[in-house]
Amino acid sequence: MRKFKWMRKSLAIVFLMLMLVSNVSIKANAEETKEKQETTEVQAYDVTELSQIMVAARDVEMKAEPDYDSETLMTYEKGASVFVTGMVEDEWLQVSYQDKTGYVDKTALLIQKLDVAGIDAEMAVEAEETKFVLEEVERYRQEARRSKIWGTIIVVLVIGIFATGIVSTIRAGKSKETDETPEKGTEADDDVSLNIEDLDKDSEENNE
Amino acid sequence: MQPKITYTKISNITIILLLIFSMLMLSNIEIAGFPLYSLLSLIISLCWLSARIFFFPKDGKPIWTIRYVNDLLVIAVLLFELLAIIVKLFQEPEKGDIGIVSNTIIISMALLYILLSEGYKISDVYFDLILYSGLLVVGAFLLPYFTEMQGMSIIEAVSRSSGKMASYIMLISMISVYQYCICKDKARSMFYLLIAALSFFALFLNQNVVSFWLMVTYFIAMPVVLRATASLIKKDMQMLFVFGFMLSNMSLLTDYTDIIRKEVSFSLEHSVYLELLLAVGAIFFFHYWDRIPEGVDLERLVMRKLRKGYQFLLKAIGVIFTGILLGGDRWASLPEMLGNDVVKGFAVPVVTSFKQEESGFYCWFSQLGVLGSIVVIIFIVLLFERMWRNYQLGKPCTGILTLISTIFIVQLFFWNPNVQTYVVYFVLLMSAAFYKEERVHITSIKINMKEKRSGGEDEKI
Repeated sequence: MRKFKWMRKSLAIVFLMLMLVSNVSIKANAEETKEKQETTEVQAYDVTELSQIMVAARDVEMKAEPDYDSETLMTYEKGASVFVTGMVEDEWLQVSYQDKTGYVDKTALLIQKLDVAGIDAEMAVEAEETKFVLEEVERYRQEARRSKIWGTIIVVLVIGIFATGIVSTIRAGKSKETDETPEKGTEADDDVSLNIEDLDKDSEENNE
Repeated sequence: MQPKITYTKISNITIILLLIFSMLMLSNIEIAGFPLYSLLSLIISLCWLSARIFFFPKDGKPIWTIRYVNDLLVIAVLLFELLAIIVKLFQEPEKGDIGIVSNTIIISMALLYILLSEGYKISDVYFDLILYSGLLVVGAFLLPYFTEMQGMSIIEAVSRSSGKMASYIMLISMISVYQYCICKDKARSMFYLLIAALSFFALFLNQNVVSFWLMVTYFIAMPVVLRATASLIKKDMQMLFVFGFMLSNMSLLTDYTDIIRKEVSFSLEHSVYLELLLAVGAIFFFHYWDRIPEGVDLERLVMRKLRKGYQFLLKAIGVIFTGILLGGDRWASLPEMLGNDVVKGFAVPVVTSFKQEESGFYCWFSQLGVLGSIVVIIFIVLLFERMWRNYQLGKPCTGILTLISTIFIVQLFFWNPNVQTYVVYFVLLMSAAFYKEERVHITSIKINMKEKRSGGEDEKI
């Protein structure tokens, strides 16, 4: 009896496990099928891959499917840039906006004419401005460097003159101790001294 | 036992402090609404007066006696300013009133007059101290011309008036030139030469043409006021040449290089005229200089004829300068004739410089009123007269101080120096007027040219 009960229990457990496994596999299969269906649905359109930016010639709606009756995901205004990722059935263009993919009537979009000359001119002006800014920065850097150099020169010059004065004062003080005192005149107060006129008279007398 | 602190030592220290007063131009500090320089001048003069009272002579002599008319004026001014302060303290300040600051400055100057009228010698040491303090101020003045540093704020404020700055820089230039001329030590001479060159450079960057003329006058007047020995004249002319050479080359520095950051301009054409003038002057000078025989001691050789030439030049400069100033704006409309462009080039900048500044004369009337200005004028005239009476040819220190003080008084007709400069000049002026210097006698020599050519000896008398 006991053996039979154990067998019944183990059979029940095995059955439950089988049920569980089959449930999981059914679910997995269902998801696979769904994906397959979706991919089948996507791959149902023949998409010619493109990658370009076009301009909306008029207000146009982005549809979820390449069908006028399908859900409208958003509306492009006239003049708006549209990123085209592919072409479907020669009538619809597959577009991408943020993380959404939709379809737009091909006749509503125009190829954007790039103003190459304008862009080049803008780039040139920007390059000029950048060059000017760089030159100005370089000039300020050179000015600052020159200013530092001249400031250092002036400070060194002033310190050098100071030092010359102090050293010469010390040396003059030491030499004063060893110098003889000069003679002082004892004659009359009038500064009778050598006169160039006396030399002139002497030379005239000499010539005579 | 001699006391450690004597009145002489205190006087010397006080004079030193007054002479380096100019360093206050480097600061813009105010204490309780008073600029530092006004407070310091008052404190220094009061401390010195207190020391004078404390150390008065033991034989009972009074501290100070009224000897001259100036002394009476000073007493009157002192009492008036004290009254003015008391009145201002109780009254609201009117518009345009300069407050108590000017009164404190006048009081401190009056006290300094009383103390300095005893007569103090301004020796070489004091001159050197002025130069050391001046070196710092001149260095700070030059910095904004070469660097992005804005310099010290008060230097900027003062240097907006080229006259105020010129007054101080001229003082440094004049003292350094004199020290160079009398110095016998080579290293020391180099020191004075460097300071002189730096101060000349600062003077040129300051661009006050009147100051250039005053410096030229100083160079010419030095052999007139001092004993015109060959050594003095030689060194004086060396300095004049350095001055002229630097001035004539400033146009190259300012107009052909980017070294100087501020807008400073010198005319190249005028530089050429100046160099021509230097060349012509040098021809005349060396023509006379070559007649000095070899082997003569230049320290004892007095060039009397050259001195007379300098006297003539001085009178000529005075006449030309006065004529230019009296001519005013009319110089700009001189007719186109040969040489008139040169005259215009020299005259017009002088007149422009003269008109840009407010003279000290004008400032007295605007700040002190008619009565105050008359008192100041009488005071200066009497002091000036006293100074020239004290002057004699054999007194070198008094002579140079007299010359510097005279140039200071002439400056007052062109600009009003700032207070720090006034104090330094005032100390020098008082020394020139009251210090009784001993006259220096020289041993004179007579050279007999006949004996010299035949190999004879010099005869000494």
